[in-house]
Amino acid sequence: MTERLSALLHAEADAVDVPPPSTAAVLRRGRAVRRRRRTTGAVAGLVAVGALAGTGLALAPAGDDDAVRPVDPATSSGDTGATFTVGTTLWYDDASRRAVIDDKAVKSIYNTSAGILVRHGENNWSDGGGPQRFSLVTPDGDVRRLGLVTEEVAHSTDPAQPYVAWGDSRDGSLVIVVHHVAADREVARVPVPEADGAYFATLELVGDIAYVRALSEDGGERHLAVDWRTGEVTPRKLEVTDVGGDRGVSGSSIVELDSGAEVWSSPQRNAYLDLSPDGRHVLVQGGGWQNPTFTVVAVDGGSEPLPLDPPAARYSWTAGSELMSVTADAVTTCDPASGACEELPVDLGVTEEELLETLRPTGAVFES
Amino acid sequence: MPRPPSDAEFGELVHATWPSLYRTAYLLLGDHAEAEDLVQTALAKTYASWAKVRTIEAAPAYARTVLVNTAASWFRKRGWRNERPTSELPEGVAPASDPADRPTLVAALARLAPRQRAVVVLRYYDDLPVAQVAAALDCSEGTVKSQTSDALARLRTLLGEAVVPHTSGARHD
Repeated sequence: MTERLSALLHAEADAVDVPPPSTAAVLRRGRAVRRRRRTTGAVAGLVAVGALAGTGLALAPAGDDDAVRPVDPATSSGDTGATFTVGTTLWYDDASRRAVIDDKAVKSIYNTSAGILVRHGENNWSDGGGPQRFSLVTPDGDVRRLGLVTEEVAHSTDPAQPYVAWGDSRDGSLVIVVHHVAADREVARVPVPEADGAYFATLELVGDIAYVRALSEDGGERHLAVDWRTGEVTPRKLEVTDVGGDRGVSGSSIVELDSGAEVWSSPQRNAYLDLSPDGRHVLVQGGGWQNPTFTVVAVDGGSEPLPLDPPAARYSWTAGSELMSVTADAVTTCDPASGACEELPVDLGVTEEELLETLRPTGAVFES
Repeated sequence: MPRPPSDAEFGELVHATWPSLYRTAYLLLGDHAEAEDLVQTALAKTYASWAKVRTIEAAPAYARTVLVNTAASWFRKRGWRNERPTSELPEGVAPASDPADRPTLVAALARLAPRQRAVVVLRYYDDLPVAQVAAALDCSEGTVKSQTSDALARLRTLLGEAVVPHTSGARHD
């Protein structure tokens, strides 16, 4: 006779204070586990897909296919899987979702913790070519046109933060500007008198620090670390042209951002280095433009360099530090540690030639 | 492959199933934060497994099954404490003679081993038959019955015979 027990269980359950659900958190975790399954479950796809052609690879175990971990804002914010634009259509969440940008062309896209920031304008030139307008595609799929308009500047975001930053050089004076993309308002404008005379600046935003490379008309360069919250400017000897985790690319080396200490150095002269967002792997492009070679290297060592087949378009990193390449009918994502790849069929509605003309992956800039 | 739900459709599913799943999770785990994590996990797995779920209509039952399986997995993998600390009763005491001194049912559930707690919740709250409980907990039906018997005996000690009479336990067998 368990009626009394059953009734009590229901009565006590009814009295439980149920918190409201967070649909956004569930969706984030759902997408994360879906992406993880694609990666860990696709070891067999390594040969079939053929995107990675390593030898002697020690593939990582598939792991717990059903493991679901809460999203860690410090490492996962802004991770929308394979993300790119073709024409004025943004494809994101491993090309499972799309949004249309209302403008003539997309210039480049950036991951932020508030969503995907799309820079667009009259043409698809990145840092030049007239006004640079912005739209934020939020995790809910809304496309919000920002009031922000810039021109002839290079932008940077930190995927874990809701900011976009750039260096504004006018009359020989450099100012670092930081704009909150969710609130659509400027939050900092930091003069950098140490860079007087600069006509253009690139920067990499990491937390509160902008690593600035200021270019002068006389061909000189100055390298600075600017804390945009405090205004403190620290001259640096090393240039930083790309960042990932707490590391950066400096010439043909990977260095610690804080100390400047070299972590890894490329044996290839004139190689192009593309650091993963988590700073653990670097994509090395060598061989020149006629016969390019691609290799993924674990910055901390522990595994052999992984040679890659030349992609149809190009490789780029997702915000979650997977390698991505896109063709007109498939998106391939690969785990740089294991070499496991997954090919996702898509129909982008363009020919391969049209794709090459208009594809804009996350983090890439193009000039014409 | 079935069309995945839109965010709006899945959001409606989350809101519709959340209270019921949360209550089961709380009874299973006895902790609000862990219950919330368990329900989020179950719904996230449901979202990620849409090729198996196929329709919105099938999703609530799928999510509930995932929730129970995940809880069972946590019991195995997390080294779940066999008994959760409560202040109501020391070990091995006779049931309180005054009903007002007895622990609440939730507190009493917390005194059970995880699998015993699970069989009680699934059989007497979620009203699942023994076979389904056995499948969810990945054990034999005989184990479910023996765990039920042990759990009811323990609850009888904690809550008194008025709540759990000696004749309990035959339902669903």
